[in-house]
Amino acid sequence: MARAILWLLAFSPAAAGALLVAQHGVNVPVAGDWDRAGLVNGGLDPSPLGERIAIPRLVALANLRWFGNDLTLEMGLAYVLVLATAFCVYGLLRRTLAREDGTLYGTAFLCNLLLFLPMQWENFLWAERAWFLFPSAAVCASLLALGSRWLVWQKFAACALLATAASLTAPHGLSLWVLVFASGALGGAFGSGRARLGFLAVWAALTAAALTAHGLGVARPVDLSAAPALEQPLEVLRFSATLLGSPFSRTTLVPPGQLAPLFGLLGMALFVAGAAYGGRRWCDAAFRDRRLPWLLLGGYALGLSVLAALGPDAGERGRPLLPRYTSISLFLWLASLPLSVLAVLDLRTRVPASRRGLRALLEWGPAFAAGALLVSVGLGWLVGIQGMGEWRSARLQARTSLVFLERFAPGDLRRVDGRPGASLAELRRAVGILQGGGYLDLARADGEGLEPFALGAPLPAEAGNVERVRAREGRLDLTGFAWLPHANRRADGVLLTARDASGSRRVIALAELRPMPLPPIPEHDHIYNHARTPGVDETAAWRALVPSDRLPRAASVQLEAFAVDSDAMRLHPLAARVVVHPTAAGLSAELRRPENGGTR
Amino acid sequence: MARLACLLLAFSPAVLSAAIVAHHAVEVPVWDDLERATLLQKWADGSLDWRYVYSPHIEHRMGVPRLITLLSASLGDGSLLTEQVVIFGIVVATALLVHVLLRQTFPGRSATVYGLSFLANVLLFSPLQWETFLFSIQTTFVMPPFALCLILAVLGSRLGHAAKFALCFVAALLASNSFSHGLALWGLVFAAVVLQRGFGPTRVRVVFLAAWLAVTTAVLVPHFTVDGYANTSDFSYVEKGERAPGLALSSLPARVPRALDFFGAILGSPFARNTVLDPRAVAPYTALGLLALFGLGVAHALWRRRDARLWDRQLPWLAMGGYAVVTCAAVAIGRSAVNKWSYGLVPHYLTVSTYLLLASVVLFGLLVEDVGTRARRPRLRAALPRAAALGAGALLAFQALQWGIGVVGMREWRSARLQSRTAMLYINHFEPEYVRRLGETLEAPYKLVNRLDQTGYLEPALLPDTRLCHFAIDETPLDENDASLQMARFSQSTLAVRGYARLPEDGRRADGVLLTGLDETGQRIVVASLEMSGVPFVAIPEADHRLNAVVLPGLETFAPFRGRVPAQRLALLDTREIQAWAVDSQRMRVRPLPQHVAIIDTAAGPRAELRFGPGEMRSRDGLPQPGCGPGQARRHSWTWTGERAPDLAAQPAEPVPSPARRTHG
Repeated sequence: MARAILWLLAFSPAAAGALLVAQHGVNVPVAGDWDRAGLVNGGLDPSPLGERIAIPRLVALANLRWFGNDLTLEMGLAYVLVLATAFCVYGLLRRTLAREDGTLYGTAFLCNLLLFLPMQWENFLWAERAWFLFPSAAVCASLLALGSRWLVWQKFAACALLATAASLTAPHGLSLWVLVFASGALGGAFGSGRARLGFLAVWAALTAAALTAHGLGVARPVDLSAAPALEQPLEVLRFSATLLGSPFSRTTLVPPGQLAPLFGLLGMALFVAGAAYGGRRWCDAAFRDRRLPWLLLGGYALGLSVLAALGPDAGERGRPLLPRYTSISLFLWLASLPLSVLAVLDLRTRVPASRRGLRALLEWGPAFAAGALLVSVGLGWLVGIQGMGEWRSARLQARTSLVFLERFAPGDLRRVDGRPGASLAELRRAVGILQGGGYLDLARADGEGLEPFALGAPLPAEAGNVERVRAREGRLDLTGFAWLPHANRRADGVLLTARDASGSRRVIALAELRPMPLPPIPEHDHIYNHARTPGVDETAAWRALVPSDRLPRAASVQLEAFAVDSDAMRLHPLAARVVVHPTAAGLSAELRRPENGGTR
Repeated sequence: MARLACLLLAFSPAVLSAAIVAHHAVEVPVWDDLERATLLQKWADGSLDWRYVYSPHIEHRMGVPRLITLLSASLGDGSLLTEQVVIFGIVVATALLVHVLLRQTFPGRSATVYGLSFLANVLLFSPLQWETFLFSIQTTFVMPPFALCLILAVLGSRLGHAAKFALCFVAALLASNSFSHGLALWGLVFAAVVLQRGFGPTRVRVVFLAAWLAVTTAVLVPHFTVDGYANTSDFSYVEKGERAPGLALSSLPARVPRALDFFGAILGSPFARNTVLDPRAVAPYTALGLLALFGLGVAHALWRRRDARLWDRQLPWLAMGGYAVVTCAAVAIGRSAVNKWSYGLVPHYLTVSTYLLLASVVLFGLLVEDVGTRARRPRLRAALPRAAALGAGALLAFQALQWGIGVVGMREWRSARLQSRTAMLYINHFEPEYVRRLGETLEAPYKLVNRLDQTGYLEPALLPDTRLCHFAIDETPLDENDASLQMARFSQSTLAVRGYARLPEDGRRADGVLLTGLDETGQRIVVASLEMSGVPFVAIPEADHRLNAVVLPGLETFAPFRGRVPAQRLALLDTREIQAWAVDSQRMRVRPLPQHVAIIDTAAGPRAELRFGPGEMRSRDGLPQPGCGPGQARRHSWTWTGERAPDLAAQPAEPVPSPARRTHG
């Protein structure tokens, strides 16, 4: 019973992760998700980046065929992959620590805190990116298999299957071929030397065949010689350290690009220290076998960070800080945990009783470090949850833009499409293909009315309002803010409507929100400073430019604004309204708030 | 040698904090600091009497801090920075007393003592208390905690009873004549002597307590009755001459929920700031956690009260935690009558609630030690110290974040003070826009800033006119990445402008923006002094929002300015070009923004046009202007006898490089 409770506690981050993914996942395509339109048409064009992604494509096809392209299912799959990774890591921990006490469950808890870190939101909440997580799961599963009591051929088959699948999922899956070879060469669970040699020989042959096949026919193979950072080792180190330290660098106090390299260097130092411990005892097979999986996992993270530094996009500003890379960098920290625990446990048996200070340090130091790590990772969870919220808000805003895509061009294609160099025409074509096949969960606005939205309750003035309207150069410039109090998030867009001659509301503009993602600025910290504490007028700001030819022809036109909730498909009227008078000199506009006598 | 190294390590947070405080300290009075103007003027006039020194500031009898101010003025130059040094010195003394207390609590356990001292210093010197370290009036605030620790250390020492009485009396007197929080110490000493098992023979205890009651009465009765306990401060919740507001108990029944929320805000404040969540949402939970931790320590002490030796080790920390709880409760009761509950989160209250955290940590350490030695189960014996180590690691990691938040808070404080310095320089010519950097309304700051200037203790002195030449003028325009005039528009004869400005040398927002033009004599005169109110700097990584299409904050968010120039000011100008200047009020220097405004007269009225490049900036004749230039000497200085030095204002105002003038980095 006690063990079951400890196990549940150790896996509580998994439960929290599940809730977060379920809460924040939305079925709205972004970036590479739109390439499924090509799959619908039967096209299997190679990935523009030279990647072999057959398995993600097959899964996408299966999703299209059987589940109507519900992207949230693939987000769930991403979660399942991480859960599988967590189980494999737990298995490795049990084997490594060879005990079932607080040390095992405490270490497992910390590992799960890292594995389910919400800062990986780009991989959890983006269907195309879900497969980024597969290679790591495959690595952990392979290491678990290789250290097991299975027969050699069973280990070979499992690893071959995993390596092949990983290679056909994401580019960094290719690293599995090297890792398995290293584990086979250095690990002890092979019995006779002949069995090991046989394994390695066949594996090498399979690796050569797989990599050759992988390289054939790729449209644009990765060219390391074009890597900008190859001749600048310090730049490679900086990129790599930034990538590895990224999970702990977001504090809003200091630019993450300045803090991340320091954390990355700390992580590297911890890992190297853990790896170097007991170097002279490397010949002890049992000692080596307990540490090998973690050395390989840490090396996996380190190696990938270096390869990313050598990639063609390495010069792109801010690249190593991309949230998706957290799924790689966390393995350096994760691997350092059991290596440190092993070193401490070993030292405790070897330090003489007379060294009281050192013994006390070994006794309590790990708990102290665990406390510090808990707080650091805990803050990372908060940052990640915030990032998930921003991502979800952006996707819901994209959904609103998609509803009106045929009528209004999105102000920023990055949010709605996200593919490099994509055009509005390409997006419209992709939407048409997917919607035509029933593969897009989207109700389109075919008419000029408010359909497909339902009307909801008006927003209070402090949550949603039109702040300013100006008429100049033949158009109206309106700004305001819109926050959905019931959903505790900014609106997913603002619709501007005008009544036509028959009195029906006609949508004349869609205002997108271009919010500023500011954290709460506590006003009590600035009572003597008169610092500006941003409110919803900045964190949920919208702006609309309405050409005069969109207005109905009338002596006086009343405009109403509605905050969009594209999750519930509801519209909530904003407090103020605008009255526009076309004159000979142009337009004049007047803002009417309820407190000014404007009616609602 | 090893002991010295351990001591230095334990006090390394103090050294780091000193460097941080020194970097951010500026000599600019804010709010209650301006009260010194009245004090110094009375001293100069010879009208200062003990009544005024003893009189309440709101409800605080602040005789000791006032004496410190007078001492600083008489022995030195009366700089606000001197009192900030005194504040830091008092906190250092408090930290040393905490170290002594720890040695008394954990005799012979050097590692525990130095470890807890380090932790205590991380809390006591946290930059999160920037409103204490950088606010000169807070000599008042730091005195009661110092006195508290002195009393506790003295009562636990081997001094004779007479010496203990004398020292406790002096400490309590210092504290209650510094700030109202000190009043609690009179009761604390009484309770501590009653409860301390090892105090001494019963007869001695009774005599001590009787004498203590007598002196308490002798001190507290006048405290609440002399001169009707009437406020004499301009910065108060009540008018001058009105009775001090105190706890406002009569209105308490109607605001119990707010008082409780206020109490929770103060107690939860040490753990509420995290850069992601709103501290107002977090504070109630952290308050409960902290109270629970302290409650655990209290429960353990009561459970083991028969162990006299253990009890006497716990007592100082129970007293410290109790003092913090009582003081926070009193603040919550009194201030919830005039402020909203979230005011409890203001940083200077951390100087009180931190002692609850410190006491709770030490009590928990005593619990771990006691239970660990008595527990029969080996697992429990092993688990407790590890739990304590886990908590210590978590606390220190969290404090690293708090220190970072504190440094940012200090940076914002400093920026606001330098901006209010610019506004003060022109207080007789332009009404400050953000009055709340100086006071609740303009009336008191206007009066007191001028009074302070007349007594010669305002540095730099108020500017006598609106000529720009009182600043050092660096004619090199700022780069457009650092500053820009973004909008200029006429609205009914008033010129409205907007832009942003940052000082590239320091990477901080400018200390204000001045708009100038040339008058008929060819001199540049200031027609508007614009203050800046930006969002405190936050770092938002662009990499997190590549597919979100958000607007990342820039200088328009962190360092914006906006303002208006009325027509009557523009009428003073002889030219039709307005130049904007970014002010560095620390170096008393200005630099032009890359654009200027050209005023074009049209049939429909004046029109403003932004043009790149400096406008007509140079004075027509190019000659130095009399009575102008940077570095005006202090106009008055005072000797120890109170004699006034010759009034330089009566002499021709020439720039005089005076050794008396203090320069600030």
